[in-house]
This record gives sequence, structure tokens and C-alpha cells, in this order.
Amino acid sequence: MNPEDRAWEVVRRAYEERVPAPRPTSNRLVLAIAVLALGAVALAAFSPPGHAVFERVRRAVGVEHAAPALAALPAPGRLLVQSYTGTWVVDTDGAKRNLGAWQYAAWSPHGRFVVVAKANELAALDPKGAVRWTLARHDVAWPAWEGTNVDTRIAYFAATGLRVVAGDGTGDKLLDAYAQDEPAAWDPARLHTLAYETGGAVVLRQVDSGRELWRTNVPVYGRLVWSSDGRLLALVAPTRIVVLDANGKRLRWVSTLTGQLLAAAFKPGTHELAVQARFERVASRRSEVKLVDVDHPGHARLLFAGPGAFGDIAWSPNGRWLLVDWPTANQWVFLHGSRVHAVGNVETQFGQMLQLTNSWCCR
Amino acid sequence: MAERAWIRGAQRGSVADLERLFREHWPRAFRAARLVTGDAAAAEDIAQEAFLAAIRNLDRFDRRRPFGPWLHRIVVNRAIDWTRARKLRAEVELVDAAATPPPDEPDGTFARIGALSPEHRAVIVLRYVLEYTPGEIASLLDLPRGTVNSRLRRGLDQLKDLQ
Repeated sequence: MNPEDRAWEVVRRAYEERVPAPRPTSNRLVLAIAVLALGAVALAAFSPPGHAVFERVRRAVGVEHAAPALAALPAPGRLLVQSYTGTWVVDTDGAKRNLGAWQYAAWSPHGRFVVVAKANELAALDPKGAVRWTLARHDVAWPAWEGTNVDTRIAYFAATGLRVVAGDGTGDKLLDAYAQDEPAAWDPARLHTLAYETGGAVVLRQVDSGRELWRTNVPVYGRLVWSSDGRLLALVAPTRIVVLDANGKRLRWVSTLTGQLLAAAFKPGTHELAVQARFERVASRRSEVKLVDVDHPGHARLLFAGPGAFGDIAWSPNGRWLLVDWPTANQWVFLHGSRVHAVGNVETQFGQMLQLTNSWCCR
Repeated sequence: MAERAWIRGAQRGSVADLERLFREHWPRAFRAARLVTGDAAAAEDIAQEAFLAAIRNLDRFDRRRPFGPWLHRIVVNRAIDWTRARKLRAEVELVDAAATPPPDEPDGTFARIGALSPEHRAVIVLRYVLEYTPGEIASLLDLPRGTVNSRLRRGLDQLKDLQ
């Protein structure tokens, strides 16, 4: 074996060990996440349902008696699933369609279309996979679609920077050549207004006029997540979550003392932020999902915890169910209060999961 | 441009994307470590350690930045440390007489660069093997740009004297 192959074997093993050997874990670990605010937010005790769920899953990887396949979604809406094998649409009744070997996908505002992307192509499809239009650009990533029934915009990254195109594929233009390569997030309360990261700051810009509405310096880069009313914008980075108000003023921050914050999503119609955190130990990894009430510092509760790695999280459109991808267990876990519904064999059904963010759309 | 996609994939758990990233960067990382240390086994350890450090920090990596400079910074700094430590220990290599010594580069580069101090080797390797600009080298090694320029000049002068 040559030095390169020898080193690759070591590197590959180390990489694969990032996904954990599951082991029983002390209850104390669930206290390890610390939720802080600009002085005020403190860790709250986890709820009785959280306790119950935690007790159920702490001894094993995966929820017991998981359904062997996804038969139906527990709430109305459709799910857009991005895996390494491609893009899938799952209907409420569990019927699924593969839209093709795309690398990124996002819903149009009312779920009537899907914008998809792969290396050198951006395209709009209907939910059955028929192509409406395509645009050739280099290194396309992170498309996001917003607007009204008749007037929409799509933001996406290409080799030239952050770009915006109308929902019919016309008027493509560069918005910011120096934007950070993280998904931009449309303001749900202001039409055609986009939040993105550039030059060490979060910027809110009206994309048609190009007018910058505000700019706030931030210490980290991460994923931007709006509350459904557009009053809160969370910047989710591994070391902390910075919560801004609608004017870009820093309101709170959320951090962990020992873990990494890897996903977050506001519960629709509320200011409650579901946060997925991961805790690495020498021989194991453990993940948790907590619900942080941004309006009430100190209010947070554990929704779910388990050994290994969790992936993305997604709220149902009615805000009742939270979907947690659990790649270590090869399961999707649907949570509603103390109710837990798990579906196994996720990789067999969809392939290795890439993204579920903002994926559950439209009643 | 594919590199950004590989990093994204590796951050999301794709071994295939990690391997692409590794295969793309291993040859230059290993060669840089070998030129600075003058020792093939140490270079293998150093380049491997640099990749392991990269994996440990993968979740925090800023994908907008190129991966190469980030990796080379680790490689070259570790190679300098290793070379200094070896000098301090006045280490004598145990040579297995039966083993074939690793081949030098065709123009005898290893032998000639080995005559320079570790600090001079590092800037020469970064400038003429990895092709960074003096400004980039200054940033990679946390050195003033003037120091980089003077080390480059002195290193080149010494290499000429050795020819």
C-alpha cells in the first residue's frame, strides 16, 4: 500500500468514527446543553414528555417499533426530500416521486413548483418532475424561492456569487459577488427581501431595488432561519445561534458549552425555535433537540435525545409535528408532544439524507 | 469549483466526497511536508495528521475559503515544528540497510532544500512548490511580509550556492 492509500485508510476510519458507537449515556448528559442569552436565557429543565422519550431511546439506537417504511405523513402537507440519490416529493398519503438526480431543492411559495439545482444547472419543476425552465450557471447551490402567487423570485448561489432570478426564469442578475456560501433566507414579511451573509455581517436587501435595509455585524457565519411572521431571524452556527429582530438588532444568543448547534427551525406561528445540538465524546456522539422560547428567556425543553447523529429537522406546516432525521438509527422520528412516530429504513427508501430544511410545505 | 461541493458533501457525511477532497490534496500536502522535513515517514505522518485535524474541524470550516491553504498551513507549521524538534534532539536516523531509500526528486530538490533551515525551507516550498504569493505565505505562517521576502531571498541565495 502506498503512503496515500495508507493515509486515506486512517482518514476514512477517523471520519466514519465521527458517527458514533452508541452506548448508554448518563441522564446528566442531557443537562449539558446550556442555553444562554445576552445575559438572560438559561437552560430550562426538560419536560415530562421529553423525559419519557429520552428514557425510551437512551438504551438503543433508534425508536423501538419503528414503521418499516413511510406509509403516510402525520400531518397535512408535502415533504421535499434531498438525498444523495436525488430529490423526492412525498405526499401526505406517503406516495413518493423521484424528481431526478438533483443536489439542491426548495419549494415555491405555495408548493406549486420546486426549484432544483445541480453543478451547472438551475431548474424549475412541477411537483411531478416536469421541467418548466432551466438556467445554465456554474457551481449552482442553495436555491430559495419566495413571493406571491403571481410574482416570485429565486435566490441562489453560483460561481459568481449570490444571484436572483424571477420565478419564470427571467431577469437573472448578480446580487452580491462576495456573499458567504450559506443559504440565503427570504424575509416572510417583506416581499422580495433577502437576508444573507457577507463581509462579516448579515444583510437584509430588497432584491429588485438593491436597497440595503440593514446590516448587522455578526461574529460567526451560519444558516439563516426566519420565524414565520418575519419578526425574528436566527443565525445558526455550530458554536452559537444569534437571534436578530426584524430591524437587525441582536436580541439573544443561544449557545452550548460542550456541543455543536447543527440545525434550527422556528415552529410556524410562534417564536419557539427547535434546536438540534450534538455532543461529541471520546468514544461516542449524542444528539438532542430542544425547543427554545426566544420571547421568554430561560424557557427551553427537551423534545428528543438519542445516541449518534441527528440530521436536519423540519416542522409540519401546521406546526404540530417536528420531523427529526436520525441517520445513525436510519430513522425519521416525528414528534408531537409526547407522541413519537418513527419510520425506519430511511436510506433504503430515499438514499443517504442530505437536506430536509424547510422541506414540509403547504397544507 | 467542485471543491466546495466536496466540502459540503463531506460536512454532510459523504465518504465519497471526503475521498475526492483527500485525493485532490494529498499529493501536494505530502510533497510539501517531505520537502520541509526531508523525511518521507515523517511527511506521511504530518500530512495524515493534517487531514485528521481538518476532519475534526470540518463542521466549522468556512466553505467559501479554499481548502488547500487551510490544509497547507497545518502541514507546513507541523513540518517546521517536527524539523526543529528533531534538530534539538540531535536525532540520528536508524537506517535499515536492506530498505531502499525513498527516491529524491529528479533534480535533487530534497537534498538541496534539506541544507536550508526549516524556516527557509518552509517559505521556499510554499512559494515555489505550492505556488503561494509572498502575501499569502505571510498570512499562512503568521509572519510579516518583509520576513517572508527576506527568507525567500536568503533561501534562494543558499540554494544557488549549493548548485
